[in-house]
Amino acid sequence: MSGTSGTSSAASAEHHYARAAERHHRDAIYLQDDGRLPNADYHFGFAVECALKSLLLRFTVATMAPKRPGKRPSTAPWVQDPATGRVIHEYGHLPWVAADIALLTHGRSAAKLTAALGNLTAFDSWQVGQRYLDGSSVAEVDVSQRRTVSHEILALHEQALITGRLQ
Amino acid sequence: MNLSPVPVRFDSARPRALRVAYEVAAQGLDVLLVRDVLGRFALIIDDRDNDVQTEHATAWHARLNTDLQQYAADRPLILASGMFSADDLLGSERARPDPLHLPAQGHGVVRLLDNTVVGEDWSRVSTPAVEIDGSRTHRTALYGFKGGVGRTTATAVLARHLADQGHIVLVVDLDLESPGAGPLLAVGARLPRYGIVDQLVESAVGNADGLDLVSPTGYSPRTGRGELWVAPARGRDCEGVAYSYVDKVNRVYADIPGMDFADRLAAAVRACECAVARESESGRRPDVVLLDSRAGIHDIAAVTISRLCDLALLFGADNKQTWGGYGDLFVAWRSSGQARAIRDKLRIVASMVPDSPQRPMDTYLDSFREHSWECFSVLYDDDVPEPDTGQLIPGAFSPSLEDDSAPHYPIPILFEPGLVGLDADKAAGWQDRAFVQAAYRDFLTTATLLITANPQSESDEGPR
Repeated sequence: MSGTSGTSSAASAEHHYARAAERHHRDAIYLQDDGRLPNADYHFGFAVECALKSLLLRFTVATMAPKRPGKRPSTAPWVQDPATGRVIHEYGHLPWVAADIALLTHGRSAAKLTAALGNLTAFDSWQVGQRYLDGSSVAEVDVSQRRTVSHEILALHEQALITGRLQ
Repeated sequence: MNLSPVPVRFDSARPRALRVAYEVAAQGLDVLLVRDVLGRFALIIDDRDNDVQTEHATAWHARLNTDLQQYAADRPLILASGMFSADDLLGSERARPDPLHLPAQGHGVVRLLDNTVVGEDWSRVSTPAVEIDGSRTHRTALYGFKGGVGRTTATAVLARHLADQGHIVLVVDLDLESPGAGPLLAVGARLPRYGIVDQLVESAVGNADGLDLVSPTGYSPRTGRGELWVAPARGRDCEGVAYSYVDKVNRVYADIPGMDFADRLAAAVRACECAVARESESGRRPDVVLLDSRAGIHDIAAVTISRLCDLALLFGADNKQTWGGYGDLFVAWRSSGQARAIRDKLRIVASMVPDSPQRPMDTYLDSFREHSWECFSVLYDDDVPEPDTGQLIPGAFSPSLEDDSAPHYPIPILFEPGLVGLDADKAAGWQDRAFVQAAYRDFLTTATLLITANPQSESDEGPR
């Protein structure tokens, strides 16, 4: 059911995503406060990505199950077409498009999350490949904006884990 | 022999979690006990100004896991200093102190934050404010825990009676899953193009301006000053455009940014009241609004009784289903600290009261009153004197069984077989028949007094 979370074990993918999100965010803050912007920016992106994947696995039909019988578990959350059994969507790195977000905002609740996800545009120019670049294109104003959005999503993620529902 | 521990079930988890919470609070720490939608508990300790020793935190964490078993959250103990959303959760308006426990000297405060999938409005009791111009709109909910108790028929009879007294009456059909008040009231008149469901659906996309939501019922009140309007749940069918009622009802419970369902329902009722002022020749707003609520433990009933009305008439018959159902609701109100606020709004109606030589009305009502009093006692104050003073708690409300102004004292409506399965379209003038008037006489007199009383100046001598 959308909007409420089920149980999750300590070894589950959603557990790892949740803890990884917090770790990336705290490390990003540490780096930004020390003036190391490119890597701070990189970690803010991962913090948001992990938090959203944690929410997807807890509150939606997205799964880490093998995409084919007998294969290894998926490395990213994905959604199956109930009619054909095929992969209709797989969640990768940021930036996400509207279709990526739609599954999380489906249903009766999650008004705050819906509003927060509207601010994900702050990550439109974020690229996972920036870790291989010299970092000169990273602007302080962008990192500050991404820090704000990351904190907002991490706070909603934390509340969702404590209350068991999307706010 | 290794015995498995007895599993902790839902009902015993709360007192166990509270025990640990009070143990932590005894150290002078404020705590917030959060129950998630599955019933699992997490204890948040506000350590932002008070350090918590690691060994204490470790011990409490272990206690919660041991005592609560499956009802311990993934993180059963959380220190606010390490949270991203400490301000949001610890500052939540929904967090309530435990109503059954008084804070002890030197101890921290224990508050609870409950999260459910539906129905949170049961525990948020408030009374509508006066209008901007200082006038008061009397809003009354008519509710039955079980359906089929004649609630909607009574609403229709009461609405006409109030209009006869010169009031401008609006009946709002909030029984969205089973609408009925609209067609029953507007016999022979044209229903409006749109209903409450349309208001809820259109307002969610900012498209509700100008909706035709109310109709005069065609009834001519006896005094000539009164008016009777209806806001149906479902609008009128129109040629060429299918009226997709089910598709709309399935969307009305959506929260939208900045407004939850309770806000949206309140705004929808208000839109209907404004529509009366707009469309009425007198240009006046309704001064009496009757809200025909959905039955059962449902979000609409929760919002209607807890928030939208200043009086709720609770319909019931003298049977186990009635008392069991209301008993569950009353316990929930008490445990959420709402007993005092909600009891001021409530009054029981004994609907479909038998009166025959084999089953006289008085005998039936005696039994009804006793069961009602037992049920309502959950919401009343203790009538045992305080041990220190030998006096009752100042302001304690513990009415006797015979107190005819108390919420438990039934207002009777006689059972009338002629009204069962009534087809209003084929029974013009049914409300004026002598047997109908006789069946509703006591109800109309008492309900009118209750509805038109001013809750702001309510005093002990009032009829409520």
